[in-house]
Amino acid sequence: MKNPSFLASLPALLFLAAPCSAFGAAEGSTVQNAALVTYRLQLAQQRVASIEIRDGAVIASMKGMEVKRFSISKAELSSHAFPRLSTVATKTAAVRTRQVIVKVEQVSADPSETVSSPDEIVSVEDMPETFALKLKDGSVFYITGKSRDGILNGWRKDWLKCRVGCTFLFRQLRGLPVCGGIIEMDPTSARHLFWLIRPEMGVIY
Amino acid sequence: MKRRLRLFLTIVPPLLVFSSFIALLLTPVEPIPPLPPASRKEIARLERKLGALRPKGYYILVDTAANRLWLKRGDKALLEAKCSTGSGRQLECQGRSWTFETPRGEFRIQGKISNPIWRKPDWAFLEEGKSLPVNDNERFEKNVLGEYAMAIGDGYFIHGTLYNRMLGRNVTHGCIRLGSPDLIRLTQLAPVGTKVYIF
Repeated sequence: MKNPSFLASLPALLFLAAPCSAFGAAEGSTVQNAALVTYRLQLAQQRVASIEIRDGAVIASMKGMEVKRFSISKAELSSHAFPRLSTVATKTAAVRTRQVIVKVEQVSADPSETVSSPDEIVSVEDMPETFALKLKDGSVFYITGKSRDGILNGWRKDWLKCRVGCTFLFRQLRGLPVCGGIIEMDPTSARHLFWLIRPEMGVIY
Repeated sequence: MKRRLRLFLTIVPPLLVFSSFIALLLTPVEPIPPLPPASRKEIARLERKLGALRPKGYYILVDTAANRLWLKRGDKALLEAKCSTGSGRQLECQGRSWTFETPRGEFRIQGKISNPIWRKPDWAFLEEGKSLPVNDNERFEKNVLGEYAMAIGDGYFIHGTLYNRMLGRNVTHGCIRLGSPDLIRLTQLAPVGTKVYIF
């Protein structure tokens, strides 16, 4: 096991405790395909982008066309027989995301220079590579870029992973048919995905 | 002091854990929707409907994370350009606040303007440390938005820039900036009514 800490391995065990087979969003039977197309159609009628979590990738779409694809390097997902449609309730970063709030007294006199400094913009590079995604139907996903960045951030990631695992476990104990998963991708993709995801965004998984 | 600390450590962490468990148990979740009717005929009908929603003719895609703009027709990209989108920063002044983000979603080109003149909004003055003008004529500034501006609604435009070195970065107040050659080509190719998809 790459990460020997108990906290990190606990949620993975929780996910694996649920029976794993084919992932719900995979195309297969007529029922699966019908559900998938129906949900894609519902999301395509919206004005904003939506995402689809599939076996090998997270796909962002607008109006039924794929606009961006994030490859998944490794995934541990609890199974569900049919594709599901939900919306994003919250996204929680493992480390706090940067916000730039400028008070008028602080700004430079030259307007062209007020936005030139990297300190004064929020770009995709400022986005976290590890975050939790909670859906309104109770499902939870832990998405990570899997890069090493210090002991403190490592602990924060483990803590978030543990919270995701506990949420999943408690919802299972409540008898809710929720899904959970750990998704690994390269750090850049994870940051871009965090940037893209907004609350109320449609998700097929 | 030690006793108090021990008491605190004995009571507070279990209480926190217990309350978070209760919160988890009580948080309402949406029910999972029932499966739609399934038949091959139904799937084909839905796929036709889905296909009909895809944009016809020219459309523009803007990736605010990568600061890239594409003009496409079907799957074919006719133009790929570096652009600049919203900086995401927040400006606060005298109890007012603005967040400079490029809006996301579906828009359309509502009109094209040659040699646009910028009507400076309040934040532009406040950002420069100036007071708001009394005379409205002081708000107009020429030659800062490039050769063309295309309105996409809600006061947002795709326009040119004086700061080409900033292209490819999140530096704007919400509009989409393009370099001059790309802006000219986009204006020539994309007619009014072209759909703009920002994500």
